[in-house]
Amino acid sequence: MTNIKRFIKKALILTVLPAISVSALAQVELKTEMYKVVEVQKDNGTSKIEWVKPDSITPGDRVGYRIVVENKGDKPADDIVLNNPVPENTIYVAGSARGANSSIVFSVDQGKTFATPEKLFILKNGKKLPASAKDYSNVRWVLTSSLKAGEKGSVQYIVQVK
Amino acid sequence: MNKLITWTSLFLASLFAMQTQAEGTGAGVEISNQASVSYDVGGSTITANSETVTITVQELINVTIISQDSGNVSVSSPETGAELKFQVTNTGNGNEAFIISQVNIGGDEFDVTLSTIYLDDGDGIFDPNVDAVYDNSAPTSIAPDESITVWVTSDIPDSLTNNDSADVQVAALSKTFSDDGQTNPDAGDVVTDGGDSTTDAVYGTAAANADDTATFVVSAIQVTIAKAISAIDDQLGGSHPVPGAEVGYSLTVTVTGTGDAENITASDPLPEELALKDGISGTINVDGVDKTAVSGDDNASYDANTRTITVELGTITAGSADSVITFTTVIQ
Repeated sequence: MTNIKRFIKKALILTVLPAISVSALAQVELKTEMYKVVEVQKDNGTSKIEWVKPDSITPGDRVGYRIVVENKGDKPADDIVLNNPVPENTIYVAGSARGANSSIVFSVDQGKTFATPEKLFILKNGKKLPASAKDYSNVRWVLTSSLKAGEKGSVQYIVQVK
Repeated sequence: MNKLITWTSLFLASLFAMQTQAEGTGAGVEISNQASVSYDVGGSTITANSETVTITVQELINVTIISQDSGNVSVSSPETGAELKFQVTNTGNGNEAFIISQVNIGGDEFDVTLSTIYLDDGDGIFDPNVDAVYDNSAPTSIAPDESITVWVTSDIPDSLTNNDSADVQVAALSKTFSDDGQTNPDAGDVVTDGGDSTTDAVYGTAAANADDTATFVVSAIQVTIAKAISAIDDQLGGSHPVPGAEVGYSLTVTVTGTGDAENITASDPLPEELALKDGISGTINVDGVDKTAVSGDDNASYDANTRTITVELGTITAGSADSVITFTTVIQ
């Protein structure tokens, strides 16, 4: 009986609290942009990577996501954490996540836990194996500095369409 | 009831898993992405989401066509309806039909008269009475990751000489692009709304290179060898194949066609249960003449280690009398 009461109390706090804070102080806006990532051959024989309009995406193509974060309020935003699940039918491209002033961590369990690549493991046939990029389910950027009022920043990563 | 729902959803889940394991994400599938952020302002934690951005996977048209003949295909001169076997695989992410074409390639000794293309009925055996003619005006639609086998037939001209060869190149072209008037598309070319689920059809690299070449070689001469048991003597007055029984064998070499077959060597590796009678002291009869089994002194020999009988018959002109090799073995 005591357990149930405690549970109800906890549930109430969890549901009510965020609703209040969002309505009172929401000021950081998030925008996701998507691009087709292509390798453009140059005349001198080298190639460069370009992010272009995402036309005609087919299996094997790479899609780049840029997440723009902007503080539209009048107070600094601290402890900013950006989250993005790797979309279904795509795999994360190893080493593609970028973000200034941020530490980047990944999840292999649908966002329950996060760690840097060398600390991620998966279970396969009862064996613990190092995880590879194709196992990543979520990308997380933990910003190491605050976003002042009016400031803007962005992070990005690339996936490949299965 | 609950159990039923669980089983149904499990079944659906496994179906979905099977679909995603295919060559690629299906044409028309939407890839959605939504980012979220959490931050602190004045000690309160706030979360927010971005709008969801969605992209629709377009149809990638890809195909491979691969010769299924192991090496060159021997033909006679003349020959009608000589067949080459090709496998056509849809490696794209949508349903697509392909127009199959065949062409003579230069740089060889002769050209064939290109004839009918047949669609194999699934048994992998060519039978023009059973396999349907491949209709390029309404070709069979192939699902992603599925294959069809086609037989490409040609007529071989007469008066060719031995070892003359002809290369035939067979290619596959997407019907979607052909219908759009694009008969030689490059990778990346598009037919707007030409794909499944009203996606665009995009030509893939494999499709742009979907051709393979097979080679006919005229074999005006054929050499065949037949083996038969001539007698069994069990040394006990009967003919039971028991240990110690003597078994006589004959090898008959026949050369047909026109021309000379050179360097003919007949060899017969005996099974472990048999050995040549008297081993290397025994004899091997070639066209009625006994030859010693010892190697080096004549054209017949026996290797006791591999139990192999070898007879060098040299050059035989087609139509000559058969060469007959006889020898006696002992069951071990």
